[in-house]
Amino acid sequence: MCYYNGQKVTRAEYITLMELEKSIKNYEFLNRPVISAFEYGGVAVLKPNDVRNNFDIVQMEWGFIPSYLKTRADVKKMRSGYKDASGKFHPPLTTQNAKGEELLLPGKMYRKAALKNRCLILSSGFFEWRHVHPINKKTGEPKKTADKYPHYIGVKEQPYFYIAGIWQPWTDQETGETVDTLSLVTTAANPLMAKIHNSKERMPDILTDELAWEWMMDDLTEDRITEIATYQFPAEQMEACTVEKEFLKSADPTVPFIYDDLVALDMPTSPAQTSLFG
Amino acid sequence: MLFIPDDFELDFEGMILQIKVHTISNRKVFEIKFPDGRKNLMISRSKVIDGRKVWMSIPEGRQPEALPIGAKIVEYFKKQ
Repeated sequence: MCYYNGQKVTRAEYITLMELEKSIKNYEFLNRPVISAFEYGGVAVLKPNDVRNNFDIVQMEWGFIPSYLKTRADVKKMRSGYKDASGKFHPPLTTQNAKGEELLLPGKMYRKAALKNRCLILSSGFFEWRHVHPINKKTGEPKKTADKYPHYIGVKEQPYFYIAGIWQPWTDQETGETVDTLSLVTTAANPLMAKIHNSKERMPDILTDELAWEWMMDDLTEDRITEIATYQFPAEQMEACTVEKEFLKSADPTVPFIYDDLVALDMPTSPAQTSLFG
Repeated sequence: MLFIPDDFELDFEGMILQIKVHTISNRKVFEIKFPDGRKNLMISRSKVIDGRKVWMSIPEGRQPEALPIGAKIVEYFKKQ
């Protein structure tokens, strides 16, 4: 017999409570104000159970790790870039984001995960930078270096929303540690996001509740996977505001900040929720 | 919503508690946010050896808070 909080419980119940305890410990990461892709940290993910009739909220490492990498040292080399024995430099390979249009292309590292391991990233908002080239007063031409203005973007009247993700377990061959690693699916920017993320014109693959469920739970054809992976969430249902350039250091990084020298977006309303994604 | 049922508030000992309901490992877990700056409390109902259902703080150690707040949550749902 076992005791939990001074109460006598069965061994099975005790195991359940300990599992719950572990999940809750992981769960505390939901309260972090900002999770930045550059930290390769943990993000909140909805992952279906084996029979796909329910899901768990779990933490995954943001940054897909291909199975051909054997150790953490290999992962670090992939993420930071490295010189091989001949002195040739191999640039960093970033895997936090995966283009929805390309998930299933033959030979893509994401193909197997897109077919078998689809999940949802739980988000309350995200940040993107708008690039504005100031005018050179002498020449009248735009300067080469852009000023960057961070924006906080959310979905109207939704404290949380879902972004398509794909995941893959990865085992460190040295330590035996296994982690679930994840890539966030991106799609072409809608009109609002094209104005904000004007350097790349991409946006997270935000899904409606119905599409989110289908993405995570259903057996999908390759065409349907690509359709959902390239879905463009309507701009009218999104909201955005500028935030301080030093927003990552502020207590509430989502507080709106007005730049006098920046032409406002058409929809400059402020999302009110705390952000999970940077 | 797929994830979080509606949050609700409870009037408890003169305080307004904000309650979030989570499903974690197939269990309903209630997260209680206090207005006095106390750390959030997570509680869930657990079946003990004599068949009764008892509110448990998870992790262990905050049982004196879990029991009365749990009872208040039951009361709240009975009124719905």
